[in-house]
Amino acid sequence: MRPDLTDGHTVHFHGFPNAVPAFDGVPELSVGVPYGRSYTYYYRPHDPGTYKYHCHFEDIEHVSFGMTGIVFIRPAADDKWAYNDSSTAFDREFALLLGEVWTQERWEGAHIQEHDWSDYDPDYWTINGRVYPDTLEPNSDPMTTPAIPRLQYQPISSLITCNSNDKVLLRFSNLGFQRQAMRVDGLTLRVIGKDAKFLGPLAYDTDTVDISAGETFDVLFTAPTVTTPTTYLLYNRKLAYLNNGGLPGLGGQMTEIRVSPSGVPAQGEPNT
Amino acid sequence: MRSLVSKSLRATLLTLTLVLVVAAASPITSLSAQAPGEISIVCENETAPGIYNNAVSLVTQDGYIGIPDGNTVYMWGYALDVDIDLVAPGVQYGFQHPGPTLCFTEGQAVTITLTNLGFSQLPSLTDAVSIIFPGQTGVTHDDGTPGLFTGEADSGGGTVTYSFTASLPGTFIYGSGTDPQKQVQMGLFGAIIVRPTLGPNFLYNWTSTQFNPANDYMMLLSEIDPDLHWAVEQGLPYDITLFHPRYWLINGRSFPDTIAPNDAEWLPTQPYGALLHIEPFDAASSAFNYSAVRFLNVGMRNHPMHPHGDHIQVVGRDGRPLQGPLGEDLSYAEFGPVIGAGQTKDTLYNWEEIQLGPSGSLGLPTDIFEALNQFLLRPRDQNIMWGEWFSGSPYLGQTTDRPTGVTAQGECGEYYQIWHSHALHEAANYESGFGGMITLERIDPPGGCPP
Amino acid sequence: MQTRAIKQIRLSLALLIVTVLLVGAPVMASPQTAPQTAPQTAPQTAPASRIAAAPVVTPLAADVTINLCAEASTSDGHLTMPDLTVIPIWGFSNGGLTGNCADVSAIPSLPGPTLTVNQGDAVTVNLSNQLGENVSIAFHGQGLPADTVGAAASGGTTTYTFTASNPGTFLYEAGLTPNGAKQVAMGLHGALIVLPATSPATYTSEKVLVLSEIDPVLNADPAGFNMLDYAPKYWLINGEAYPDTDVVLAPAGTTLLARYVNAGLTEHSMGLLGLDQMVIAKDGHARPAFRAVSETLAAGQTMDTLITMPATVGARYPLYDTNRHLDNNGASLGGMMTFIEVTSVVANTPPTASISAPADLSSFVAGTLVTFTGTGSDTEEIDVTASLAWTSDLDGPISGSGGTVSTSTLSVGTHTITATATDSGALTGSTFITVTITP
Repeated sequence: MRPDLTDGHTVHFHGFPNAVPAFDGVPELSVGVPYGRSYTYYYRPHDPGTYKYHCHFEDIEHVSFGMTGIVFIRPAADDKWAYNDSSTAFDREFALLLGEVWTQERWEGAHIQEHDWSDYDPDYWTINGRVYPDTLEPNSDPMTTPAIPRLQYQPISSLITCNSNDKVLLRFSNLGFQRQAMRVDGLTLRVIGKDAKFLGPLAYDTDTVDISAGETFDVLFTAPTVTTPTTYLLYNRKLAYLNNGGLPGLGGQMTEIRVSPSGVPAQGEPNT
Repeated sequence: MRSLVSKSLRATLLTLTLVLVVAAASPITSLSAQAPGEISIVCENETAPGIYNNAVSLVTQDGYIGIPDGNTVYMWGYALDVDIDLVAPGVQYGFQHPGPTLCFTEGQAVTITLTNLGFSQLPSLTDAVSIIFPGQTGVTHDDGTPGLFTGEADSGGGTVTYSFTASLPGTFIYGSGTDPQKQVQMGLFGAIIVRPTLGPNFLYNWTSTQFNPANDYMMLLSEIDPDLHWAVEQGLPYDITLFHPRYWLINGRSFPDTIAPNDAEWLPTQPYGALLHIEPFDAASSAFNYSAVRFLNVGMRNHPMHPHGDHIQVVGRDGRPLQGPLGEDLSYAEFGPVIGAGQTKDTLYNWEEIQLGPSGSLGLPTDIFEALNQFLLRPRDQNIMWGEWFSGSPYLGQTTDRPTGVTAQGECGEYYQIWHSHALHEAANYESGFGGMITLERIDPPGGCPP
Repeated sequence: MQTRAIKQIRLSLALLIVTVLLVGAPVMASPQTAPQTAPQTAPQTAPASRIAAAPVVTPLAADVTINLCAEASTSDGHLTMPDLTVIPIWGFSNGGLTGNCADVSAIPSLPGPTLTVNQGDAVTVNLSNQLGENVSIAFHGQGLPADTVGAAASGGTTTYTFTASNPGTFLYEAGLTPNGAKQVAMGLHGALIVLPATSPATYTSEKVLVLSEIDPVLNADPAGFNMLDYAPKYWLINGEAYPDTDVVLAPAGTTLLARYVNAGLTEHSMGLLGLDQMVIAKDGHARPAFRAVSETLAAGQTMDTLITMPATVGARYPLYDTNRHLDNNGASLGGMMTFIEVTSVVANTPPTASISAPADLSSFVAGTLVTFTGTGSDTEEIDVTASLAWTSDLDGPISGSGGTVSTSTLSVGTHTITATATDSGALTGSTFITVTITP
């Protein structure tokens, strides 16, 4: 849509401890990668946890336009633990990357207009790049047309399914610019990690994951024992944002936790 | 220790000077060699090293500050009244933004007298002013006119004297308790640091809060809605419900002014920088080299800060150590510290050479050199966009030759990391990115840059 | 067996009383009304002094039934802001038996009535919906999945049951039916308090502080309002903006439990001047306790803090939103602000209760709406009428509380109806009448 664009880009591994500038991705303080060139970033992660990565070249625009993703580091002790502590064991894990879309800036970008960031005013709110109810759709492959064709380039599902008594890990990461209040009605969430640090004895129960721009949270819950399939809503309690473009009805950063008595197969990849 | 600089009190002259120096300084300021004392916290009431005057006299002033996009903003502020403070005779303190940082030692009996001299640009204003001290206990006031939050100093030279014992170590905000939505936004605020009995190299009476006193930093976060300031300056009405910030500041400056040193001559009304200037943490060293970074937020918004480089360790909130009722250690590490409106957060920070070591001294596997070769071999000049603060070498303390025409801000191959609000639209001056609520962390090679 | 004539006279009388009471009914704006709980027993330890007129803590769990109505306010229930702007609301009110809430004399309030139950209670909540759209209720922290269907419009009902297993401060509010977001913003929210089974050693008084916002453009036309335009102009504590906010009273040298409930749509940072607070729980879950001056609650979050009063009687300390929402639609000073005032610790004397209607030895036909009216008086406090709890020795607690309660479900027989007033020192005073219900 904008073949004239020759922006450079970088990758910033957000939160990587003791980072060196050369591999930290801030172009003014190290290097940017020019159009048509390649650059290799090197990391040796020492610290498990949930992080995020994003472009830091003209970052207001590039992050806002979607150059974002979650990255997490598995602990050496066990692939099914969040940290090197058995209390962080899980059966299933789901990455939930929060973001916002400001359609005015998207129009401007498509039409070669400038942005006034001080007027930032998003009108859509996303988990893994989708709004509710698209958040419930299954994963897809961007190289093939999915059941809902318009979701082809938003391939990551946010639907959470599990069996009674499963331990489920939710990796929250916020790459929007706003503070959000992600809550579940009817389940207790346990925050075991914050910003890729294991909380240990400071872990706490909550109903709300109060997550600002740039933070991450590792949240465990144990699915209750149910006799019939039961659905819990995971949603953003900032209710003025729980819609799609201001249209009536529920939308935005919401997904479902569907607990079955049994029968949900063991999880392979995250977010399945 | 702050050097005393003669300042003009005439607002018009100040404005002229400011416009000229802002024009000259934009967009990037270069750094000269800095000793740590010229960067970190300035205790304006310090009369001898570590000795603080506990009878402080403040007056109201007004003036202008500069934003790197070329704009100036009309501000109100607290300023030290020269008559009572022990400074050289004949030296006048003019308007400054933010108000003077005041330091005390735990247990000092503090009196702060505020005289309302009004605002020279607006001689017809009859606003009272005051100061409230969130986090302090037992604050009383003599004289002054009773106001909603505290005693107030009436216009036309009215005074009020506040008294309290600085019984709690930590980092505190002081700001106006009169029509605070307007007056704090206009600039009536500052920071108070209380040093614990344990010593000036601790944040609290808690040995886990030790830091290198040469690396004592503050980041006082604020916002500016220039329309509100314009309305006040012009005597026009303003609807606070339409508050819409366009500028975001650290210690009263927007990036890149945040990395200029304290008392930069080209920022005469904005004396406080926000550059961190450290060396790598060395566990084997006898010198204790953690930094203290004290966050304060006087804005109406919460600000999610993000230090690149490493986690910070949060050890205190609002002048209270993060310890449980039985002394349990509740401190924790984060890379996304959120500073709530009206709150303070005391943190410790260090950066350690774990990844690369000097010239690859950490015995890394050879595949890293594939990655590092992209810096060392030509034709790298077409393969990378060279950042201004990039030395050319990925290793700390090393530089390489630069391509023709590339500006170099660094000195001796030191590292720079960015600290910024992750509400990224706040990392801007109005609509221009790479401004606003940003500062830098400078990591010198061990021993500092060669002189 | 009564003749039809006599029945009609009794019915007319009952209706007359109801009408009179509807006109003169006190506005159910106080969030401190306590619904029925288990029958009162003597306190087993030193009385827990509470500012809220809460019943005495009993360790025995009980079945509790609460009837709530969801209604739009009429002129009686509209809010009036300090700048005299009148704001229509949607709110919950106590009462509302099956069908249509027509028998409820209570007026919808913002926030809705504070529901107080004991740890372990098996709670049933009957919702009767008078709004023109589906409404459900979410009881935060009670283990209930979201109800996205709710009670149908214009008279629909639905029932929620849960066991209040965990003590703490919780938010109840309109649930996630399609229009749930607007419904919460219109005022359909309130506090749910689950009292601990054992008396707390750490505090002797408590205060519920429900935080909320109002965008008057939304309230004027909810159907036509686009939530992207949500821009509050009023900032409330317990449904009032400063200077109309309640002063929080706490005795010198004691510790107050502040139960903050953020029913708003955005975060709020609540702080103190001259005092600090120890944060001990959020969302009804205990946290490692830490001290701060101001702490932020996320949208929909609750927070419990302990605030220790100094010894100076009469001292006042601002309690306010440090995000500085201190205006009423732009007029300073207003908004989300109040004061904590230190009161003296005086010897407490019990209150007295009196019943003014119906007369002693009255008789009603089963199914008739019977309205009980009474007052509670106390030497140390202005008015403890809101604390009145009514019980029947045959049927147990009567739904509702305060100076006026109504029921049409008294069983046939001769009832001793007892009205008990409780003061903030948890001392009680009772009186009773005899009422006969005939077939």
